[in-house]
Amino acid sequence: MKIGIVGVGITEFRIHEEPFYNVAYQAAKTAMKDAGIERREIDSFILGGYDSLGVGRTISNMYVAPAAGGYLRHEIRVADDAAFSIPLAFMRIKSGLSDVAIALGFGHSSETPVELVEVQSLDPLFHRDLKLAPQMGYAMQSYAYRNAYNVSEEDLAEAVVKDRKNAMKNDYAYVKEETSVEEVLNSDMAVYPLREPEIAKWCDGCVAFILAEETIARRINPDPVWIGGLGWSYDNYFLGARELDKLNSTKLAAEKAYKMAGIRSEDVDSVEIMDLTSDYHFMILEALGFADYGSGKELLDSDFPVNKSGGALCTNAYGSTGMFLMANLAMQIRNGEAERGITHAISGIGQNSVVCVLSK
Amino acid sequence: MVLKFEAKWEIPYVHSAGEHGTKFFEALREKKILGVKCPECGRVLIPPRAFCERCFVDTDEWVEVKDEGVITTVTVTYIKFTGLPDPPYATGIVKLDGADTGMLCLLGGVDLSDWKKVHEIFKPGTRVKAVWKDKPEGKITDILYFEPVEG
Repeated sequence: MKIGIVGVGITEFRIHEEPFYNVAYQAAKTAMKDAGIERREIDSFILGGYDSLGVGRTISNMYVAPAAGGYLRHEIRVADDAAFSIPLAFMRIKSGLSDVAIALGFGHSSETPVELVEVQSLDPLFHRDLKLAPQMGYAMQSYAYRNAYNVSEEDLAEAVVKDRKNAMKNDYAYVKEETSVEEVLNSDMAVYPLREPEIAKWCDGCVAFILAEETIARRINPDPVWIGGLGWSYDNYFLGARELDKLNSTKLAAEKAYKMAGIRSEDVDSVEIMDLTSDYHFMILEALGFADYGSGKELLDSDFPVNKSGGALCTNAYGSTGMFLMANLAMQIRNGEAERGITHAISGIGQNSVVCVLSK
Repeated sequence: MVLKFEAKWEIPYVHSAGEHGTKFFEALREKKILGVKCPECGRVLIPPRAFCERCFVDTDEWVEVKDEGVITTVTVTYIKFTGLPDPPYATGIVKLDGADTGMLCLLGGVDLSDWKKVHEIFKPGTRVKAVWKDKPEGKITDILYFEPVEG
């Protein structure tokens, strides 16, 4: 039995004045309309996003479950990037517990001092007092990566330029401003060695998917986007015990997803990656198997479509970024721009990754 | 326009350091850094933990490591994050002599205002040494930062 995406709902990605649950409701409504189904036809309500401290409410489901249409039903949620809720929705259907599921991802940064919240997520005895913002963790990975493979600042700036260029063509992207290598290299140093445009900016936005088991999926939508493979993995929490010049969680997640789908990286024709920094852009592509370590820049010179959405560097809603990228790939497949692609999400200073294979 | 309301959480937790953490923090009081050695892979782990997550076995051999080591990676923050210290501040991972894993720590003792100059000093391989609080209290902040070792 295959499992397909039969409905997609993407809200605007920007700074929303409305609280996250009202934006989430819009995403859910749009996805149901897109699938042409009523909420009573849904039998699993899966929620994903930065719960608790992330939105300043310890039980976000009090708002998000109703926003998903789950009034007096059940819900289950993942307090991580919403892309990590996709395996959960997939498994509920695959196991036969559910026929039609909604996966609703909420991303909201504008009410939250994100870095201060992220510091609270660190170990309280050994790390929290060191005030490590996530961007500082990414920067230490960037430093290690550049140092290990002699990657030039120009090549990294080019990754930003390319994402920005792609975002111009994406109605849903947040940062819509073209830039040049020169401009990136002359911009302010933010978190050394990362300059300001090399780090994803926070925004708000929500995404919902309607997923269904094969027979029902075909009845709902003549052309579902199938989830061919899934993999997720996590690396050591202790940064000092990790290889910081690589993204091993992504590598392991990708291996599992490829194995399940019975494909290799050569078999896909589009990829959406959660490049929270310019270095991540290359590091992720390498971990996914598209280039050797240190050679991710090769893809910039090729025609291979990476982040047609503009990537996380242009759209990074705190909690729904990975799901946003996945929705973009699903739309590309629907529109005939791609036949089979992979989508990637990462969280926790690169500790956790999830990779999905989507196909026609 | 919508109304906006301020909210703040101040919740006093009491976290247990556990037997391993307690031994580590008590040693900090003496300006000593302790790690544990995994009986299987033989790595000396900092911070110490009750079990080696890689080998999934108890770690019960204590090893004192030096308060001096080499930088493996570094970052310097030049932007202000809400609720975090004023920039600039430097953070890195230091592999202490005698340890097999790196330790997340603050770096200091040099002028951080110009990143180009900082880069000349703090880089992978730079030897650094802990600068301790005069009267350590048994907390991770007893190590104020690591500074470059002269020569």
